[in-house]
Amino acid sequence: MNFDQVFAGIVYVLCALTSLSCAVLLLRSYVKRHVRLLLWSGLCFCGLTLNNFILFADLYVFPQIDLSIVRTLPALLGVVVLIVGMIWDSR
Amino acid sequence: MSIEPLSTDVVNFIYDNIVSVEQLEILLLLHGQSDKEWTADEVSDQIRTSLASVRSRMAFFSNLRIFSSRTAANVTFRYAPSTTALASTIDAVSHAYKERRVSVIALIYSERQKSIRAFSDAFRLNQEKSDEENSR
Repeated sequence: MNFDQVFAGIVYVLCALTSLSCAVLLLRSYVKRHVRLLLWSGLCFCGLTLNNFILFADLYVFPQIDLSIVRTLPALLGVVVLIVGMIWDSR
Repeated sequence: MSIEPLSTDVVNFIYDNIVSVEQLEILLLLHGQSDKEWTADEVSDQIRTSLASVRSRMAFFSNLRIFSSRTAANVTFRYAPSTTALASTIDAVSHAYKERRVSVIALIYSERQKSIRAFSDAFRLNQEKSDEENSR
């Protein structure tokens, strides 16, 4: 594994941890404030967190298996939840 | 002398359920005379606002199980919160509106910005401080 691959791996993990932090902060705030935008955003970041962790697993843990569809689904679901939630709240 | 912030329960109740002073006045009118059954016309006369608006507000509180409704010759509503926790929160809202009217009205009309503010506040690590600032 060369330097670029190691560096990319570190970036993927940092992205996953950042997404996880956002999800925790948003959901923690939702529990306290009951503002639904926080719930939709928190769930979206949960999806993005999973997406980032699976991306890391896809490229570094199971390089022989193609997880590109599996890793895209949580991100897609997260964004759909955010969009549907925002549309729902604006009605 | 520092002013005590509005309690979290009061702030959350107003954030979640109150969009106008008219709506709050209707709630507190029925809260103040909880043994009386009110028609929308009577409330409209007391609050001096449109009948259609009063009807919709009363149906809203009825759906929240804060008012009970009865259909006889007219539909009547009575203040009857479904839980004691809800009743004590509304008592606190009523008290806050008597003592801190300007703060409560400001809070109601800051509601439109609450989602955006709550989103940015979520990333503040000192949550208690941000809650305190919001409730002032």
